[in-house]
Amino acid sequence: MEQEFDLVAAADKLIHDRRSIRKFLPKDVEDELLLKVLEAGRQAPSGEDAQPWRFIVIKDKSIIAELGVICGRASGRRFSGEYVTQRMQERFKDLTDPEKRKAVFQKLTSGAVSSFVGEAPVVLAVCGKKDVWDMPFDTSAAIENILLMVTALGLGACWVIAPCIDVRDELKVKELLNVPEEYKVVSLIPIGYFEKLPKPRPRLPLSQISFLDRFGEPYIKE
Amino acid sequence: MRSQVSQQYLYDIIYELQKAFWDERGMGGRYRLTTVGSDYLMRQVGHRLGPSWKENLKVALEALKSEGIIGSGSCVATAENVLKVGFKDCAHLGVDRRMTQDAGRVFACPCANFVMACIDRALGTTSELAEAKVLESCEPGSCEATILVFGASLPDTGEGGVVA
Repeated sequence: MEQEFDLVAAADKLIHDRRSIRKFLPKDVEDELLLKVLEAGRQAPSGEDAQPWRFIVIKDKSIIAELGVICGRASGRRFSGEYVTQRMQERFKDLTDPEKRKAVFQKLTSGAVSSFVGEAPVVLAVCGKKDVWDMPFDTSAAIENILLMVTALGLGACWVIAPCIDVRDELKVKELLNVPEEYKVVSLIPIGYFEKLPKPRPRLPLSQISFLDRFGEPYIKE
Repeated sequence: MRSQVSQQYLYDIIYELQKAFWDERGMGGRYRLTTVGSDYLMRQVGHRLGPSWKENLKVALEALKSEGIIGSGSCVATAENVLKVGFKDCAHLGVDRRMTQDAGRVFACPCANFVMACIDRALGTTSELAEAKVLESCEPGSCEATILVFGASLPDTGEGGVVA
């Protein structure tokens, strides 16, 4: 008998259930699941079908730990720079609870927002071939496919860009992972089982982000 | 015979390159420019760098001055890991003015990049250019870079700071 299911409902649930998971259980992820995750990435669209993505499955704990250090320093440095210039305080001006405000600043400036990568059971490094025109967009599509498959499999993941934003950090990651010159490291995706699903982050209403025919013309009239 | 390239043309090229990064990557584009400005100067003075961040800072400021990139430079520590580096009559000032209009702030600072590279060489850190701004409303021809040395506590730069 043919299985009946509602594809729209499934897609909708998958998209809405995805979260950025930063705390993992100390449990390895099975290779059969990782293969499904990689296959999801492989099926992403790419300009000219160039498929510029390459995925490194990192299981070596010492490499993962070193990635965590690079991630933590990269994030901590950037956010501390924002803090000392008061831009962070301005960005969070609506967060008035002193305790929460302190906790947010501490999390960001310490680098903890990204250093958790070092605790992940497995990390995928997504690399992109530099001589492909649409590489940043192609690899981003692959990453979103990966995140959705991770969600469908009951795993957790987080799209981490911190060690790839500043060219100085990216060079360290490239050296650590032995990535050839003709590729760049686009993102890291720590993956693992998790205990608790975080609450969904707020999203801007459609009325603020969608327009009709020209930018600024409301599509949804409230 | 090839004609001489005008200085204004070169300045405009630097501006246009920075603008291209801004248009493509937005504010994140500045992080793709954090090594720009270091390669040439490192070839000139890299051999003079040692284990003292303060000595390296002095070497960096002197190199920028002797190459004619800045008229003068100075640096003071304003917190245990924050340095304020002042530049006078920097060759990049025109670019910075235009990028401030386009991006709302100075987008990249090759001089600060080189200073950071020299400090980091001594400390094993990777510093952050927290902010760079043109200060012409205060003093004509002046700009200032705020550098955060992440993960290190710097001793005081002393009275008057480091000057070149």
